[in-house]
Parts: sequence; C-alpha cells; structure tokens
Amino acid sequence: MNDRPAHEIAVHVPRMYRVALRVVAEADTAHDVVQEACVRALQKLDSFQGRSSLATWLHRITVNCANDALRSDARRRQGHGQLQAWPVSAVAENGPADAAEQRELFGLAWRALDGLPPECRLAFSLTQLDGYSYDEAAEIEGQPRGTIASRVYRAKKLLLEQMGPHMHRRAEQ
Amino acid sequence: MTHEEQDMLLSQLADGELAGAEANALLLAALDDPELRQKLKEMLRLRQATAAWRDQQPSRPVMVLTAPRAARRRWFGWRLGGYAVAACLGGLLVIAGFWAAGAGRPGLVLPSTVARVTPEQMQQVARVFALHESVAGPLAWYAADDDNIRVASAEGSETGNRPVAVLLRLEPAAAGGPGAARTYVIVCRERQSATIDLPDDLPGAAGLRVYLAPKALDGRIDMQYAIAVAGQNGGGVTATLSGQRRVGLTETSLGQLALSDRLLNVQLAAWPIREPAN
Repeated sequence: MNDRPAHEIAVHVPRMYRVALRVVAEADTAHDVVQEACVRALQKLDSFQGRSSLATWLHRITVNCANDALRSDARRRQGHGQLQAWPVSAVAENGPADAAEQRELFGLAWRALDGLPPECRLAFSLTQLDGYSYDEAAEIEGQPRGTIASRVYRAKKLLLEQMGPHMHRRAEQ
Repeated sequence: MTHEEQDMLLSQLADGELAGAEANALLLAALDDPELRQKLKEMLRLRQATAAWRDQQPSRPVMVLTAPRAARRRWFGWRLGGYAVAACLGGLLVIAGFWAAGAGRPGLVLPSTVARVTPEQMQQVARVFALHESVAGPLAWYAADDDNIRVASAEGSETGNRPVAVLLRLEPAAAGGPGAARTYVIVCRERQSATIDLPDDLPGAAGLRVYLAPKALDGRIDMQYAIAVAGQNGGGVTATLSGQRRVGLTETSLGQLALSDRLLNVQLAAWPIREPAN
C-alpha cells in the first residue's frame, strides 16, 4: 500500500492550518478548511504536474477552500482584522513578562496589518505569519524574490513606524 | 549602498534569508554602528513577536486519507493480497490448531454484537495476534473480518510499542435495514498511526479506509480516528467520520456514516494488549 502522497501532504498540514486561520480567523473553521483542502488535494493529485512545488500547490488549494468557507458564511467579515485569539501554544522562553511583551507587539502588528498596501500585507503574511521562505512566497505570488524581499521590508518599515512609540518605550525600559 | 538598501538587507537578515558571507558582513557593521544595531534589534523583535503564530499547530488532528480512486484500486489489489496472506497464515494456523470453531477460517470468532468485551475475547485476540507475529514476524498492524486477514510488517521503531486491540463495528442504523453488520478486529501499535484499507461488502460502497492512532492512558485508549467509505463507480469518498475519543472495553459510538440510502452506526471498543507473562 502506497501512502506516500498522504504523508507528503501531512507534512504541510501545520502551515496549511496557519494560512487557513489567517483567512477565516476561527480555529474550528480553519481546521475544517484544512481537512477539506487535504481531501481536495488528494482527489486532484493526478492533476498536480509538478510545475510548482507541492507547498505552493497546497497553499492555493487551502486559500481557495478558506475563501469558500468565508463565502459560505456571509455573516463573517473578512479575515484577520477580527482575530483576537493569541496562539494557545505561545509561551515565551524568557518568562511571563517576555510573553506579555510579545503578545502586545503581536497585537499591535496584527491591527496595523489592515492599513498596509495589499501587496505588502500579503508578502508580510506569507513570510512572517504562514512561515514561507522568500523563495516560496515568490513562487506563490509569481514575483521575483527581490520583489518579495522589498515588499516584506516595506511592510516592516510601515509597521515599525506605527509601533514606533511602543518600541522606543520598551527599549528605554 | 544606500540606507534603504542596507535596511532591506537588515530585514532579510532578521528573517534568516541572507546568505552566510553577506550576513556576517552586515552583523559586523551592525556591531560598530549603534543606529544600525538599533534597527536590527527592532526587526528582530518584530520577527520574534510573530514566532508564536508561526509555530501554531491545528487544535485537533487533521486526517489525511488517500484519494478515493486510489483507495478503490488499492482495495481491489488488497483483497487479493488479503486472501493470499490469509491462505498462507491460515495453513499454518490450522496446523497449530487455531481454527475458530465452525467458522471455517483461522483466527477469531467475531462477535455480532458486543456491549462489552469479555476477558475471554481479550485473551483470544491477544493469542491470535501473538500467533500471527510468531509466523510473520513483528507486525505494525493486523486486521481481520469474517473472510479476510490483513497484516503489515513493523518497521524498526514500531516493534517496541505496545499493541492495542480495536473492535470496530458498522451496522445499519435502522433495524432490518439493507446490509448486514460488519465487525472488524484490528490490532495496531500504541503511538503509531495505522492506515488500513478494510475489505468491505457494504452495499453501495467500494471500500472502507480506517486511520487509527491510539495512545494508552490509565487502562483506556485515547484514540484518534478517521473512517472513510468510498462509493462505487469511482464516486469518491461518500462518507467520512473523524475525531478523537477515549474508549475502553465497552463499545463507544463514534457517530454515523451517511451512505446514499441509509445510515451506518459506527462503534468502537479498544484495549491495550498485555504482554504475555513469562
């Protein structure tokens, strides 16, 4: 029995979950989205030509499934702006104070994301939240790596400008 | 190099996206330049702030089951393979005197209804599994129904994990409904997932695929499971059931599978198999 395709897809499940959670902003729905994306991926495995990487292909399927889930619930507003829950597993290595600071910084960055130009927001989300490398993000976006690096930098610059007072206050402490 | 270009490199450095030599040069420059050092620090803090998000895992297990078409193909080949294995092992088991009384097949008398697994049934499953292992070597899992036996050899790390017995029963939800109840005896390994295509003759279904990942806890089994039924004529997965449940010797309902014209109740009991005493 050859379960290799299923195993190969299973390796990408955590990242697919993060992508789904970022889009649908709800853990249970994100889980359902990933489950559905896995079923679709396995059903379409024959059509995967290998022109893109498996990660990129799964990302597209996950995003499509997440958008379907959003469409199926018209009451749900778009994406990440609503997400309030800090990851349950988030425990900072240097104790509660560090965890609190990271949580505060993440909250600031999360809220500020909405104000970024769309292309910068997407590049930032792919590389800083979903965990894709610049090369993978470039493949997903169909852009050169340098363009992704530039967009990520611009996103960070804008975020840091908005978070500036907080960052400086922390630095002085 | 402009400040903008240098800041963009700092951004890549914080993300671990800069090649070794370039990263070293930039780090050296940052050590000697307070302004550059401060910028790098801010980039790293921003990166660190999103680390917990990047480490997130699904709150519940996601079951990745093989594609329906492939499952159907496998099921066919598998059935023949199952017969072959059963025939080989069956011959040896007959010699060993392990015919189940009146059933004309090796191994177990599969109960049609089980409210609670009895000590005798537990002992019987343990003996049959031990016998199969003595013939075929260490097994990753063993699965049997009334007509078939299917086994998979263990690979390395699996052999040390305690075997866990599972009794899986599917029966029509409506009394007297089409199709008969099916009972499967499965033995898999603790802390190892097993994906098993079960030979199946449910009307309207082509195959049954079961994923099990058991963990023993205080004499009970914390079981992650997924059950998928493939439809006939390449109809894809017609019904799935997945979740996580703590189960024991008493049959626990996992829910229902909805096939085209009926519902099937799915029930499961499980227990750790004790190592034979010396």
